[in-house]
Amino acid sequence: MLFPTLTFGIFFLITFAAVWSARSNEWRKILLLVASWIFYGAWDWRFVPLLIASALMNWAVAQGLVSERFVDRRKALLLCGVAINLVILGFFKYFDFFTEQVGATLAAIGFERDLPVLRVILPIGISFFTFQGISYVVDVYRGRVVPARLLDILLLMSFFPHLVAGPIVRAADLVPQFQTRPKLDRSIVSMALLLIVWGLFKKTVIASELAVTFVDPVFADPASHSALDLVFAAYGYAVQIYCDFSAYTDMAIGLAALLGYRFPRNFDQPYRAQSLQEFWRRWHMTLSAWLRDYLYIEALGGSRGGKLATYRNLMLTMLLGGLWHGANWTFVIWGGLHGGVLAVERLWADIAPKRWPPLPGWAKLLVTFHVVVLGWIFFRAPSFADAMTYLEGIVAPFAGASGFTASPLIVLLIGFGLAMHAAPEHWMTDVAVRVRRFPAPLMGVGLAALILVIDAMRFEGVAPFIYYRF
Amino acid sequence: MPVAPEFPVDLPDDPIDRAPALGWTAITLGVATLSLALTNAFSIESWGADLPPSAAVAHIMDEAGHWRATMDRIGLGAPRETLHHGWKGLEETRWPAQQGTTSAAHDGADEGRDG
Repeated sequence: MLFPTLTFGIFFLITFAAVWSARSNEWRKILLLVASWIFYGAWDWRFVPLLIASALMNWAVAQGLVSERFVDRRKALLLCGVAINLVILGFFKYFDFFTEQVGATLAAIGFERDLPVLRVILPIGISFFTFQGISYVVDVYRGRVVPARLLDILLLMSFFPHLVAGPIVRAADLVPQFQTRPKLDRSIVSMALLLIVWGLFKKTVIASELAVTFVDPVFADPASHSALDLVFAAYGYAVQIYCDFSAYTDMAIGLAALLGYRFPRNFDQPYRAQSLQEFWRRWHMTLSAWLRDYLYIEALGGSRGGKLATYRNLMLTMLLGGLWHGANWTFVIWGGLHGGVLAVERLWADIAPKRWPPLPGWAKLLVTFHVVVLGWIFFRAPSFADAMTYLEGIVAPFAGASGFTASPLIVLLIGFGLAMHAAPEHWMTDVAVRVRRFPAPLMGVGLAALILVIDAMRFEGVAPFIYYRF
Repeated sequence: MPVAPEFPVDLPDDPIDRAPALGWTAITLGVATLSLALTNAFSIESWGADLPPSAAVAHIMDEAGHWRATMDRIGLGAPRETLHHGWKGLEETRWPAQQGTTSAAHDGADEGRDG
């Protein structure tokens, strides 16, 4: 059930009416839980028990952590909880990938074997809800959050607005909100509706149009496209993935807000970053904060081991962050590129002579943007060989590949997608502050008019969000 | 480092937020839904066509078809139709050098899209 469909619209209106009609907070949470399971089950009912089992396991581990007094046993319990989450994630996401790699390695050293490849179906959202489970048990172990009731944990991990593609909402952010019946005010609703409409526009108009009419055909056959096409398609993918993923989280934040809950920001105009470190403070902010807190600092030690250890930890964090996106070497290379550049940025900050003038802001922005675009080529390409073919076509154009296939509309959409990063940072807040004073009928007609315009412009059909497969 | 509110839906305080807003929200959503049902019957019909076939879906499609015909007859479908045609025109615009040499990729991508 995709957000920008009428099926989801009907589902949401029914859920909205039912949840706000509930007499008690407990019933409201139960209704939300059932709605979330229906939402998840609409994709594949077989994985609803997995979602429930994952929540039950994390709840049980957290209960054990607070009742256990011995330090060693607490630590063992924590490791057990984290390991089970990782085994679930590893089996569904990486089993076939690692089996294939082991098979290839054995063949290379002369021990060819037929290893079982199970063609495991990847449950959507598994990367998000397992990370949520890990952060919950670690936070309980560290005493950052108190263990939540079973109903709250089930809802935390199943809540449908963030279930399949984030943002990664931690227990500390959401569970306290579950404790009392929420209230709606006009400010929250105005901002929520704006976020939903803006997300709808970014996904159905910009991302879908760019993907289907330009980016997908160029990435599918880079050898028959000119260098100019390849460069524009790389820029196009940078805009597409931003408009696709940020659209999902905008809509998720808006939908949750209409149900009375606040989600953290997940994107903040990432392509205006002047360093890769700043990029990661603006792109998928809940994932980068998760990787920083639980992997870079908690598991690897952060910068506590000196400069070399810091560079190593940055690299490892981004390599694993790349692998989190999918079982493919292209994601590992993407992560390695980001980790390497982050380490170089840190090294340069340590050794750069103080008297050297810093680069101007626009130059830093351009360099950062092009490092990110280079990474997106590996991220988007089906394989490492395809990515290299793509890059080869930019550096040394293929014979016979000439011309420019992007239409004026595509160039306009790429330009618009980049220009939105130069907009005032709080433009949507400013609009919401104005529209919250509108009478409800005017607000309703305005909302319908915006959706009608978007629907008239949207590309036919709705492709799944890119991050659904992560 | 960017300075951004932790939760995007947190707006500056305003006295208007002291009053409950559930009714205001329900009316907003109700008016929007009704307006879209009147002006965007095309999408209701398209949605019905995408559902898995069954007797119930056939009934929904019949009703959606009648609804769309009625809305078109009284002119409520015209704004969407005009906007859609304008957008399609923009999609089909090409640079002077591309006239008549549209790539096969574009031709393939254009197949299966309605007008």
